[in-house]
Amino acid sequence: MLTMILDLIYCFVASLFFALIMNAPKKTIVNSSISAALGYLIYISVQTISPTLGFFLGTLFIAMMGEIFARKFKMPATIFIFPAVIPIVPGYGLYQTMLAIVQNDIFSALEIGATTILNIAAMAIAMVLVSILASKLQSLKYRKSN
Amino acid sequence: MEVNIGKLLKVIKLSAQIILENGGETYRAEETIEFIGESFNVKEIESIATPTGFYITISVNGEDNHTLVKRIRKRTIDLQKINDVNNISRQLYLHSITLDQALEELEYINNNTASDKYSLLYVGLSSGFFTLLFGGRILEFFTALFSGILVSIMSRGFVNFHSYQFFSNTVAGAVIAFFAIAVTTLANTGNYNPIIVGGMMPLLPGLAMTNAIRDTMRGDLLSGIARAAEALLVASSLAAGAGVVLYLAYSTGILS
Repeated sequence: MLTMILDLIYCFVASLFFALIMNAPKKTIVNSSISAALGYLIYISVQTISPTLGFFLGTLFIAMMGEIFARKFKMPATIFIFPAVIPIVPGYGLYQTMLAIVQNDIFSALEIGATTILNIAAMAIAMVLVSILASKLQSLKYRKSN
Repeated sequence: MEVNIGKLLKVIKLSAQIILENGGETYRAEETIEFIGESFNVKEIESIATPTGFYITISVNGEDNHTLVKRIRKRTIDLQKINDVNNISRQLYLHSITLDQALEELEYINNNTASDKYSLLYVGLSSGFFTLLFGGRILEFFTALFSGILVSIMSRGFVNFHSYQFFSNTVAGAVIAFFAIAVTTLANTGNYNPIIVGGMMPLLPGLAMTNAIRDTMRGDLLSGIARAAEALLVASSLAAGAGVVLYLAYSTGILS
């Protein structure tokens, strides 16, 4: 439990500095870091059931939060999604793939590499899904008001 | 209302240029181009944006065409600038600013990068906290912090190089791996894996890969392939740098 809370704090701070590296507008930074930490929590909890589902649901949450914040702040959703999604991005998978290649273990390199690509694809699907849904909702609202 | 086509084209060009140069998606550039065109009642507006450049054709009265081609050479990430351009296109749509004002503001945005004097520290701290997230402790945290700062100082020196991205990432990968292995070996405790992953996290193309797949799924095939190529280049150059150091460490028996 304690390590989980510590992980969430680390995740929050890491994405906070990441938002600063990307020069995100100052008033968006805390919001995107909170959604990063919550998205990471979802990712970690679901990962024990199915790793790929964890990547999918974590990104889905962050993308949805991004769209909600985008409406609230009247800013592009990307500004909230980019820094927030970084902790979930399977950097460790990419690194392990490389490590396996260096150790001449092509078989596990392929195995880890394929899984990593699959996880990245799951994240991309989650992002596209949310952005399609958001634009559909937007156009429905627009049609109703006219 | 008569629109000055030259100025309109200039505003559209600068907006798209700033979006693409600062990490905005290609569809965002295309949407902004069309959005600004629509707000000035342009009859026809067509654009193709890719990460390496864009083409625009506008026809204000439906008869005369004006075409513009712009090449994009440098690509960084600056979310503030994307937000600023978004604001300006909104204001143009509402006609709360004129084309001249928009042009002036866009030129200001394009020429002025907010230089934060702590930006080196941000990279270091971000690396450090990612290291903690991946299971590092105090020793690993400080190693990642210093290698992050060192890497971002060095990558600034590489900016004017030809094939800048490849060289700076190769050197970055090597430096991070070297520090991680050297410190953990000399201290005889600790784990070098979290340091390397944490240190590389600000450089790894995971987000670029996600964007590549997302662009492809949206039907922006050209942009998807271009981004995938960029992600592959970054991943392989980082792997080359870190890989050489790791390979040497394994073959000399420092690591086993």
